[in-house]
Amino acid sequence: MCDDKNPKMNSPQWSRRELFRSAALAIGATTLVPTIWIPKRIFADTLNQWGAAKHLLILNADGGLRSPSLFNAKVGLQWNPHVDPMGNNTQPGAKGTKWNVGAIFSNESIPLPLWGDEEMLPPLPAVSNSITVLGTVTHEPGAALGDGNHFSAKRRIATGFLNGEDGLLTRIYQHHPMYQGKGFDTAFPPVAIGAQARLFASAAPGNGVFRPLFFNGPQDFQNKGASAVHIDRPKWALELEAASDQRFVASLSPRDQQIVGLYVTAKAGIDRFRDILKHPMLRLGENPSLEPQLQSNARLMEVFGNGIWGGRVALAIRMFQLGSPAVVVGAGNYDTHSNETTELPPIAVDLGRQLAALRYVLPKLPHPSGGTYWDHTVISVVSEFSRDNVELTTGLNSANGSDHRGAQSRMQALPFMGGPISGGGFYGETSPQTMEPIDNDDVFHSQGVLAALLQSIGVPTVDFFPENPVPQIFGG
Amino acid sequence: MNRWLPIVVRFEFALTLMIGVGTWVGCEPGGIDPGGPVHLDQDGGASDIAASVDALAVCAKLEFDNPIDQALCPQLQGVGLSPRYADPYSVCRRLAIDFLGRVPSWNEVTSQCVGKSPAEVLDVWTTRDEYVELARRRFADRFEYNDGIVYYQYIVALDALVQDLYRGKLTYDEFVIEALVAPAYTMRHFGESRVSRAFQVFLGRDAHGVERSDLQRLWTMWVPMYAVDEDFDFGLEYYEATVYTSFCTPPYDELFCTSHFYGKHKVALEVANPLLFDDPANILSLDELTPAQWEILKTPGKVLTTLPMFHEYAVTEALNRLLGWDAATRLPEVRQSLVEYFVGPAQLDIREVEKVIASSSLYLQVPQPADDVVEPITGEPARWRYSPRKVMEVETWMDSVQSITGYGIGRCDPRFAYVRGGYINNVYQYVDHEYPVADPNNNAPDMRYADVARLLGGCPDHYESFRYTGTGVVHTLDQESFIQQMCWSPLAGGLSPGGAFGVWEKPSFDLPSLNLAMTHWTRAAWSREMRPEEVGFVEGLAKACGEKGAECEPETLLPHLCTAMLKTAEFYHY
Repeated sequence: MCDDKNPKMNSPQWSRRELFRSAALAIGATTLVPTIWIPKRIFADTLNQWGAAKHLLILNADGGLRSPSLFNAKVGLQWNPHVDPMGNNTQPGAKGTKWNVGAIFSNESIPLPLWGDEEMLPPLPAVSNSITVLGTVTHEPGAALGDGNHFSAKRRIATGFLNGEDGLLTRIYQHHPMYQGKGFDTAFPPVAIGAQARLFASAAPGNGVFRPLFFNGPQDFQNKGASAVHIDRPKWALELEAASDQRFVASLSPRDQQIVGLYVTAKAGIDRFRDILKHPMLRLGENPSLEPQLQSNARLMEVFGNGIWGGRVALAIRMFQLGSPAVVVGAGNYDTHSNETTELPPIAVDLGRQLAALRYVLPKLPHPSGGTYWDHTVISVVSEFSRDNVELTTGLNSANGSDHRGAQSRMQALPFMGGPISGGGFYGETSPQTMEPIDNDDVFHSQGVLAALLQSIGVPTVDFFPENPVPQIFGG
Repeated sequence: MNRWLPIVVRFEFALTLMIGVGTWVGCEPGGIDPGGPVHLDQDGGASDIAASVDALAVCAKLEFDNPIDQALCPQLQGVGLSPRYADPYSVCRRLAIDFLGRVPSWNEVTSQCVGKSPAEVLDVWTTRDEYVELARRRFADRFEYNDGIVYYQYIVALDALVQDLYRGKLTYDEFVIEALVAPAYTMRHFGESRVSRAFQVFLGRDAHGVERSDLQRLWTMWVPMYAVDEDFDFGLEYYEATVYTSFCTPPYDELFCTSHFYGKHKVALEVANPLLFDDPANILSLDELTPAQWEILKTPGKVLTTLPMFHEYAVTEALNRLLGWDAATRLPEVRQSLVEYFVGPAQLDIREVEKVIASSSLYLQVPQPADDVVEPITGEPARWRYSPRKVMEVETWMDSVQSITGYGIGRCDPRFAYVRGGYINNVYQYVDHEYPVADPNNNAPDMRYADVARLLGGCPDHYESFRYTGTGVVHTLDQESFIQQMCWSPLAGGLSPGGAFGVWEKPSFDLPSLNLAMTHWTRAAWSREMRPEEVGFVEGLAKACGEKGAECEPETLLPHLCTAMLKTAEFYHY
């Protein structure tokens, strides 16, 4: 019975089950081979602007932003019905702007008394030459219709794939050079802010350890009293916990020791982040005294405002200052199926304000590696799709809104800005009448856009994004 | 109910349960050939053919009430080994977490569990709402409930079906047949996704391209139509599930409404007016469907339940979930025995399958590996010879913390991610839900529990977040924050001794008080008595804190002890 101490792996006597299993594996491997081995590209594709930035900020306008009305505005009234009192659906931009600025944006400056007596926040049209726009970003180039399903389209923009499981921030946490080796335990993670950013922080089973930080918003840092993580614990309590863990882990199998050990190790790593998250600059609802180069919380909130975006974008800036390389901020709801003429303008104006505010604030924040945060940051706005199904004369559906079920909703007009980007550019022109691309070579895969954004902060994408990164986001 | 414990094993296990104080009493492995450990081939069976025959002969003489134990016999008793049972306290904790969704109270351990067989315990615990609640949560994930996408009443109805399944009112097959045409399913998934999701949930794999394109025709007539719930002043918009019979007007029914891949099946109803596609008479609401029409519409489930892997996956899912590892693949004979039990004596009652698993030696084993059976290639202890450690799900962990501290911030409603509402008589009202109520004037839900759970990977909305089991610094930081909140809440003590801990009135660092506190917390958090080394720790702490100048503050003894115990790995894992 137990007459052989050597494993039976060399025995030629396979059972029937073993033979069938081997055959099944062979068949399965053959079936899989075409899927695995056919490369999307023959050569590695890396941007010239690889690692040009140290920070990436993505604003996710959740629900399906009617982006042509903002960033590709010179189209027929059917496709951009948001007009000024004179009936124009565009407005002049700053000198050097090649894209058409929507009339929906405010053109009024906002006083900033906390920054100085004469200080004003310029409106977005005044800084439009800092922004480059791609007018034909789509999930499926060549497809006649768009993906009008929120469920799947959100996944596409958050993960790069129809059925993707690893969000963009999870990819960054897993592949960014700063998190390799010991960096994983010490470097500040990527951050998702707002429920509408949650999918960007999703992780496939097995990748839970790469899940980034998530915060609902500034409110997560308010009233940090007894419920906070910064209660100092006495030595006896720490010893009790540590001794218990040590005994428990020692009693386990080697396999389980590894799994349970992750938890014990993670607890040990909390201390560093606990101190970081106690920093007063995160309490944006208060105005504690801070070092001058950080700028005060009050000043930040004055610039970004109190709309659906302001507090979250301000928090994102703080995360950069704590060392995070990437933040996704989500806000919404831009899914304007009805009453769009009243619902969209305020939240479009707020979104415009964030871009203008970032252009204003980031150059005023010195970066630890020299220069300013503007020099080292790439910023983008994304959404799951655009909108359509609108009447010719009104540009709206029967509920005075717009939908996402046809061909036109597949083309998003998305803005990009930041120090490494040459602003003012426009790529991907569309027909004013049909919204179809003028040049089919000027259509940009959304995954390629995401790849470019990741490569801009030095994340290699060749192993998980088959699409080529889109260099046009850098303008020029 | 069949009590599937072998006679021999039942005696040993009952003896173990009855003794169980502090010391571990398990079954010593017996009859091991002094020549060395048994080596297994990759099927997990004994590699020596002659030994296999002997093993079967041995097993033929034994009686087993549990089909898993019977299937496992050739590898265990058949080769002279014995199951290695965990101590009853560990077993009780394991059973409570898996079947009640929280750690057991000490009273539950001592009065409802220790001294009884697992089958007896589960006969009671599976009748509790907590057991059904676990199933509701699982199926909320599988069906991806989201009341922002699907009409909330549809989700209520599908959830009711799940409850019927786990209260024994439906067989598993009946449940699946109903569920796949429930509006919460047909209005959540469309086109090929209806096939894809059904396969993932009930067959454990995605449908391949041909299956998706073929079988989706069984759902062709299900169409969402814009509707308004008139119970609200301005109406509550939603997509109503309707049966658009025109889509299957002959002869197009052969093309669009007939599946062939698993036999020819047509799902088409008589079209009232075949000449006018959009004739309202051709569009049937749920209320208008007759029982005979429903029988036709239920064809997708009927096809699925006849597939050979259908019952196999049902038991596979339960087996792997309860054991915490892929036992179904590694022990196909066990899986097969469960399938035969499921379709036979259990009469398609999925609860019986779970009870049988949790009463088997596979589930009841100690978590320490044995060196008497090794894997052939790696030489590591055989995977099936010991019970793995599992990690509590998020809601289970939160509910356990809340039940121990006596303080809570509520619960999630597995059906509703958001809770819909609308104006009724000019007052905004939320629909009935199972969250705590934040404002009784409008039934507003208290989402504090859900907010914390979603940070940790639970209470997903199945739209922007999905369930995950996290680890890492970030996740642990969020856990610590929750524990601190529970342990320092006013009810839990804070600066007021006693409170919900209620064990003593004046905690201090003298030895009797510390012994009392540690005994209470060891029982509450770890479901056992203190071990000698822990007794020694308490004595040392009492002595150290008794010395002049020691920084031991009685006022904060309880919250700090609470935090320490609830942060241990032994609490989080089971």
